[in-house]
Amino acid sequence: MNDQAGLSGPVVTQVIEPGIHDSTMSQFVAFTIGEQNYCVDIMSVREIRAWTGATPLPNTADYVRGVINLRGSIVPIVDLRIRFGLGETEPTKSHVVVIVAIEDRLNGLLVDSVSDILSVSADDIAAIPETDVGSRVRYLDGLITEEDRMVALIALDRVIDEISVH
Amino acid sequence: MLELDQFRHVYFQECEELLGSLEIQLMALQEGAEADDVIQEAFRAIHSIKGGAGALQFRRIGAFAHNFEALFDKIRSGKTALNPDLLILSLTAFDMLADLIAAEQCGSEIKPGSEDHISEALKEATGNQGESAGEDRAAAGMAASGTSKPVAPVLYRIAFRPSPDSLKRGNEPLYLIRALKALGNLTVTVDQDGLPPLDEIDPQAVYLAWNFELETVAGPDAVSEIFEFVEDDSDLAITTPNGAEIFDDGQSGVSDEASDDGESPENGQAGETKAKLQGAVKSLENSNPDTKETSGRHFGATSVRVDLDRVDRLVNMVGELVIAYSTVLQHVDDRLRLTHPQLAHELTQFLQHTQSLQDSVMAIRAQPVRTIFARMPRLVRDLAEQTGKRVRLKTKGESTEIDKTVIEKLSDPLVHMIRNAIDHGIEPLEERQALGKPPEGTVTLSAEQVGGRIVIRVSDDGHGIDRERVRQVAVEKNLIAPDTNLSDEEIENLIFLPGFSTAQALSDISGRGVGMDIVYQNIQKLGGRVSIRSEPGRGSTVTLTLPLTLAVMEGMIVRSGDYVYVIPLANIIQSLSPRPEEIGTLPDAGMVLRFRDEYVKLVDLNDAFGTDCGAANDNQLIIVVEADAGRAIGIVVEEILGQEQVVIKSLDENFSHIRGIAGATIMGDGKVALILDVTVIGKLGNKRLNASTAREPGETKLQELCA
Repeated sequence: MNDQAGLSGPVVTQVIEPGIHDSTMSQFVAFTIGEQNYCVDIMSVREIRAWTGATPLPNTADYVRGVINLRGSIVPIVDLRIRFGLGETEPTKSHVVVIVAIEDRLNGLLVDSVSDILSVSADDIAAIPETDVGSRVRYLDGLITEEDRMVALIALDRVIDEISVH
Repeated sequence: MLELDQFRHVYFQECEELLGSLEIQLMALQEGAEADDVIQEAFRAIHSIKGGAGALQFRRIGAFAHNFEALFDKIRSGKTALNPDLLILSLTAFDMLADLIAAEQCGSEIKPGSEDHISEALKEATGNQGESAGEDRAAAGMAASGTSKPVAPVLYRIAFRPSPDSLKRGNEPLYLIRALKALGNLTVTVDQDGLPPLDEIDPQAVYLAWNFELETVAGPDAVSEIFEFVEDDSDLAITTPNGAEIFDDGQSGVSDEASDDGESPENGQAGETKAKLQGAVKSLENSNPDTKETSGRHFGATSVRVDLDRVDRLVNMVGELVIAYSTVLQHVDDRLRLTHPQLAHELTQFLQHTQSLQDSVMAIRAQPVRTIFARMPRLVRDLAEQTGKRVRLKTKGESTEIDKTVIEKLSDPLVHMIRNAIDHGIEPLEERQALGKPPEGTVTLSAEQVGGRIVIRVSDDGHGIDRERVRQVAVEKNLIAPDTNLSDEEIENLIFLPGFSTAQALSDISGRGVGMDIVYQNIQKLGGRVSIRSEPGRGSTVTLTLPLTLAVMEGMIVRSGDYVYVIPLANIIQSLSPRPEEIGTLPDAGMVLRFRDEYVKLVDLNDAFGTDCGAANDNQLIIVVEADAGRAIGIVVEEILGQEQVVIKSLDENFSHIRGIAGATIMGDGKVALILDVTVIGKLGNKRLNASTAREPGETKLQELCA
């Protein structure tokens, strides 16, 4: 499942078979933004698409790259690089949009590439060290160690919810 | 009891329709209509409600409807003349019946006996003591309240042979037997003669027949009523011990003869007319047997109930089809057209079919506004009672059709507007008399289609808007500066401003204050507009202008910088390429266009949305649109790309509302384009000049770059 991002074709939809694993294990879709690794709960991921451009929205925050047409639904795209303060993504065809559902709402996360599916037991998710209120760390739910890399688990409701409030 | 749940569901759906129909008939009677078919229709509606209630054992509804029905039975047979008092009683009874049904539906409880005084009044109005005893017994049978007078039980013999297909039509004999059992001592004998050998049995067919001996105090009506919905679908004979045959389906309409026997002889002729009438009704029903088993006898014939979700899916698919067509069209270039001349023709055909498909699908969603107008008479009656005013509601154009989604969202604003009209518009009785106005105030609710839009008006003949007071309140609440120069119309429309509560401002009635700003917001969300006009002393009119549908719209596709927008065609007055001398600059750097002897404000989309900082394009076009209440603005764009029917998609579904954007649509190339909300775009230009503090950090950056 490594290095999926570079695949050709406009839509890369990965069907993920639920493997046999311990019931306390959860699975996460991991992706990269620059040198950093992030992941989201696999249960919230609807599909993974290649970047094909978005229609920008006026009068919205800069990290909302715009909206795309997902089979008839209008879905906003969040540039996670801007959201995490790492600058703006210069998207190419090899960039990837992870479509996630938060409750009934669909959102796209623009990332560099999807790297892995992680199976992690709840005990192995470390808490976030306390930081200043208002820091971007509030968009994270925990930290996972995978082969000596640190993978930050994104709190989707917070990373997305604040967009909807205006 | 899943099946029973389903029956309940269908019953309540029917009740909704029947109550709607009943109310329309009652209103017609109130308007002075005396036509027999109006009364007949009202009777039928009550009768069907009662019948269903009996079958599902909703005893309170059944018993109450029975008394109600008895009154209308008298009226339709001419034994009782309809007078204004009876009409008021009927309306009260209607409200009670609606309450009883609503309570049963949501499982809530109305205080026992709260309908009793109306029931008594109905019985009294039905008069004829001789018969009302019989009615009482029948009602007692329905209600099983145990309050019936000690009457000696009578033995009925009932021979019942349902038709083999009756199960398929939803007539379950078991329910009938249960209902019979509830009436008294029941002995059941099964007649198995019709049973075929095992290998020939159709599991869905009824082969059995039953003979019942029922010992009951309930009247013959109560007994025959149980079979009311199957009498056409079975062989049925009901006899009393003295040999009187109270029902035999061999002769239509005779069933009531026995009960009519108790009446005074001079009513014979009326009874006969009644029997004839019933005969006529029956033969009508018999001529159309296929539509009967839904038991929505008077509604099922020409309509089907479809889940709205299914229609929406269809609408979406048709929308996608239109997009797919556009995509195909883009691949058909001139060369292909030359080599395949037939192709262009076929494509045109394809487009036509697609469009008519789209229209048809939209027509499915369209509903007459009657469905919401019908809820208003009751509101008016309730409010009139609460306020002690006399108000009559007039409705016009109920058959105007509008998209179902619009209808649903229209109900609340209409309720608000009517409340306001009665609360604050119509004067109290004495005041009206002192002014020489008719004591009864009139609220008129009308709907009409004007072009691609629906116009709904709520007017009253009350005292109109107190402009001075409105102005004063607006100043007090800091909504306008004290020295603002406003026209009468502008002052009146101040009541739609958020934070302007008419209840506090114009009336002492507390606790029911309704902000008109809510109305304004709701209608604006629907892509509609609201305005109010008032004549002091003569009343006010609130006008709602709404799109026919929320799903599809004709739009002009324009480009401004890198952005593509859709401007609703309904709003466009004219598009033009201005000469330099037609454009003027105001001291605040705002631009105006001289247009038809007036100056209209120009809005540059790039400025309004803070989107682009590229050099101004010389080749500018201006689209003049009607923004709101007749006010025009000019939208500056760089290019007009075309005109298309677009499927409107919500931004709110996955994102949030953006000021100035009414929604989005998907273009032929699959890309998303934004639909402008021209009603607020004129206000965006101003907003941007002083609103940068409220912006997201990233956006401020963008603006700084532009500056």
